[in-house]
Amino acid sequence: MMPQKTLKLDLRASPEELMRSVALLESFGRENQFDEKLTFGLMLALEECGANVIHHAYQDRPQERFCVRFEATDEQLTIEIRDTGSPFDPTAARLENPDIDPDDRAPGGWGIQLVRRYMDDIVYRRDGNENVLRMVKRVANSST
Amino acid sequence: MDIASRQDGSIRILKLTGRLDQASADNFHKALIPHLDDCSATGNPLLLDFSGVEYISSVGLRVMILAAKQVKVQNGKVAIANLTPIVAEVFQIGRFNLVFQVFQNYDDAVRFLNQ
Repeated sequence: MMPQKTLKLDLRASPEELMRSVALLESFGRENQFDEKLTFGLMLALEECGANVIHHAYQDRPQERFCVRFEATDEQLTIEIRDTGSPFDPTAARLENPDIDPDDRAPGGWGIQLVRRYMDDIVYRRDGNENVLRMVKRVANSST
Repeated sequence: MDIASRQDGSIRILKLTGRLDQASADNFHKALIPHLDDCSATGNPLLLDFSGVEYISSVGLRVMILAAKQVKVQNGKVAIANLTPIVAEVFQIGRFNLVFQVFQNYDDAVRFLNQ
């Protein structure tokens, strides 16, 4: 039985710092023997939603900071991201239609779509002056 | 992301190695542009060998869509080969087989580009 394990990070709002946190999450997954696909999905979710914080909530101001908390239990893996930027709800983003004619595709907008495929729950709330995004992957479903 | 370029007849082959993410996508796109510029009806067909790409996120997909649009405008021919299983799944989620000719191996991609 896996004891509860937690990873907490306080980050500058820059792409480099975000990818450093993704690498730490990857190491956490390896240390806890998560399978490759599960680890990839968690890394992707952190990158995509961290990028929203940097580019949308903070409008690319790298002096700002945000927090990431990762928690692993027997039942589920949780990523929580908190920032004090402008209100931004990634779950409200329009989903791209993957079957659209290639000529009509917008280059962006695939992030939340990918996160939805790899995580089971994505819940956003505004808590005082904070954006709080909580993403959950249930371990029992990790092989699907 | 590293790009190693070589020529096989008229085909320009780019062997990509690394991760296509927030930290690397912009530089990757800049490094790719000269090769995309050469990929026209009268220029070099382009083969992107993804065997060394172990991670891709939406910024990577964005670069790939921009690349496909540029090549299409120039009437060029581009193919992708050797996706790793994880990257292949991301491509599948985004239906990138509608955007690119994707091949499981190098030889099939070369055959397509030589047609």
